[in-house]
Amino acid sequence: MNVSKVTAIFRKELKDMLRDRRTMISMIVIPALAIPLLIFVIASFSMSKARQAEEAEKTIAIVGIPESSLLYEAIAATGMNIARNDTLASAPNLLVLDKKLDLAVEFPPGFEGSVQEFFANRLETPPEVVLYYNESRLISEMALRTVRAVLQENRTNRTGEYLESKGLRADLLYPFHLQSNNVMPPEQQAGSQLGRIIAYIVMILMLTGSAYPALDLTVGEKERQTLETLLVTPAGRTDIVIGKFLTILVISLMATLITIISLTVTMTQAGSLMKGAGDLLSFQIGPRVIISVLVFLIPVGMFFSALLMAVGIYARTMKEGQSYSQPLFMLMILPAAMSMLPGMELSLKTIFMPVVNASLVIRELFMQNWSILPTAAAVFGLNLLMAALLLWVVYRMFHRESVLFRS
Amino acid sequence: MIRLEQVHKCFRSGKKDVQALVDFSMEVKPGLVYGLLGPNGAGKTTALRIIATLLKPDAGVVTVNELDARRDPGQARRHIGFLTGDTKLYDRLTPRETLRYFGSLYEMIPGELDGRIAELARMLQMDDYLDRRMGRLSTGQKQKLSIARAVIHNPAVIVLDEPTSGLDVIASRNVVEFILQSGSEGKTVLFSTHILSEAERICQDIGMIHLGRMLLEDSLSTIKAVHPGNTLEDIFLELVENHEEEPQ
Repeated sequence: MNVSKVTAIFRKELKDMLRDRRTMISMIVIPALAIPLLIFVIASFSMSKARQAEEAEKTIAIVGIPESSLLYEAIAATGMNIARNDTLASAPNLLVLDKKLDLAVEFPPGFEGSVQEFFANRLETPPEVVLYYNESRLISEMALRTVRAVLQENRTNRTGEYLESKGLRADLLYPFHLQSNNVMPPEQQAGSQLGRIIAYIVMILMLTGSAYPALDLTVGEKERQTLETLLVTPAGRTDIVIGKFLTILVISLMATLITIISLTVTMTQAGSLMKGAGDLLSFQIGPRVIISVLVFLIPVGMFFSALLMAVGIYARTMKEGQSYSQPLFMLMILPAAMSMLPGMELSLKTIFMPVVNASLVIRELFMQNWSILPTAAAVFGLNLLMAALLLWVVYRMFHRESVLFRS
Repeated sequence: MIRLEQVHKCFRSGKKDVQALVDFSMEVKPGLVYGLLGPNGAGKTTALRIIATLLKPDAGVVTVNELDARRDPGQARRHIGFLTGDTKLYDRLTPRETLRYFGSLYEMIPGELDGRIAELARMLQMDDYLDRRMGRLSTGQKQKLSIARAVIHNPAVIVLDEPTSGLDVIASRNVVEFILQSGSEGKTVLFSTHILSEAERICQDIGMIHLGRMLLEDSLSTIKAVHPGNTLEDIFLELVENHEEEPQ
């Protein structure tokens, strides 16, 4: 390998790529603008829907207890619109399904009497109150939460009163308290909410960021008939492979860096830019996280670059290269998406799974779980080894006439 | 000087082996323009690609300027300027950037390289568009840049594969002038074409190839003397007929 020739090829390829509008779109426009825009649009949309649902008048029906009962009044006190029972055109559950009602509360016949019978130990099971709601509608879920809270409070009060009537303390109902303390530091808590999805986004953008330059610098050159021009110079095929490989790697790492910075800015600015989004998007990514993720992604970028280069060298035309890349994308996206699954953790099994191992390490790094570093180092080494093997395959392919001049 | 001795090259096409060159020998002397003539598919491009070290022969000896091109392809390429009719360059680079890039691959030092670019720009009248991106140049301007790219390192051997194919009259003339000038400068010039009248105009030595075999190799004057009154086309057709009648 001749360093000066590799440098010359790398500099030329990088200049050529950076002048290409398509590279700029995949490297800068999508990560820097499209991703934040997408996050803001989704967050704004869901916030606006939540606000609308909260402010909207909710109509419910209460069936089975008289309007004069205390429980009816307690539900009515929530301010929700209660449909008169004599105006109900069909069964309450069907009205909820038809969106005529947001919620229906159905008490069994003789509800109050049954409760008393239960307290008197003359009934084995308590009466059942059925709440009909529609999970697909946020407004219905909100009505459910409100009414359920009223009913739970009423139930607690009744039990307390019963216990007191028997000369017992009302708090006997709770012989012990439950306290859940999340031991995860606050920055990790924020990371765990969005770390999974960010790890996935970063991996996907790294893959797509390297796809265009990898194909353009290999099969693109074949198609444009510029490859031969380069092959007749004293630059060896090793110099050409390394020069092109470094260009693809640098572009994919630049795309990744822009993605991470863009996500950082989006997350940190979300709270101030969007009122109420603070909790949803408050995710701080410090320089230590950015640097560690980027360093860790180097062998992953090498792996993707070498893989796509192999596809590009084998393909005869750009179209053929794109066709070969599509199933490859699916093969890469699926393992990357696995890191988002609950319960997916780094283990002896997962560290040997390409892409999955990297996604899981990135997720942990975003969560600022620094205890993962020894495992991350092992995954780094494994990915480096795989990238080196793939690069060797690319090198071999570039030396084969039957591949390079395939027609 | 270019010398090919008993070169064999076979390609695999599906399940069949295709003999591209069979026992193929030729010699191109310095200071002369050698025309390798033959129809499409005769093996011209394969022979030229082997000389340019793009392809490896299965057997035989390939010498470029006394260097064994099979053993040391990188060194051999330093002595060769290779140009084809469909050689393309980078649309997003300017001619100056392109020439600097190729100069750096030939490890030319910056001062020497800039001087050579200026010399070629003057010689090929490229000054007006030296800093304009390739994508905005005309076919003729691109062809001039291709020539400049091929000779940026001032090679002793120039190999041209159908360099005028697909070019208009003016661009084609630029190439022919370049070939004649290179020959007169004492360089070894080998060019292939299927347009026999073009070869008749500019070559001193001729090689005729058909189905991967060299049918005839001699100076144009000798060939003309042996076949008085005949054009190269007539001579070629006669040779092909005789060759096809011979038992293989």
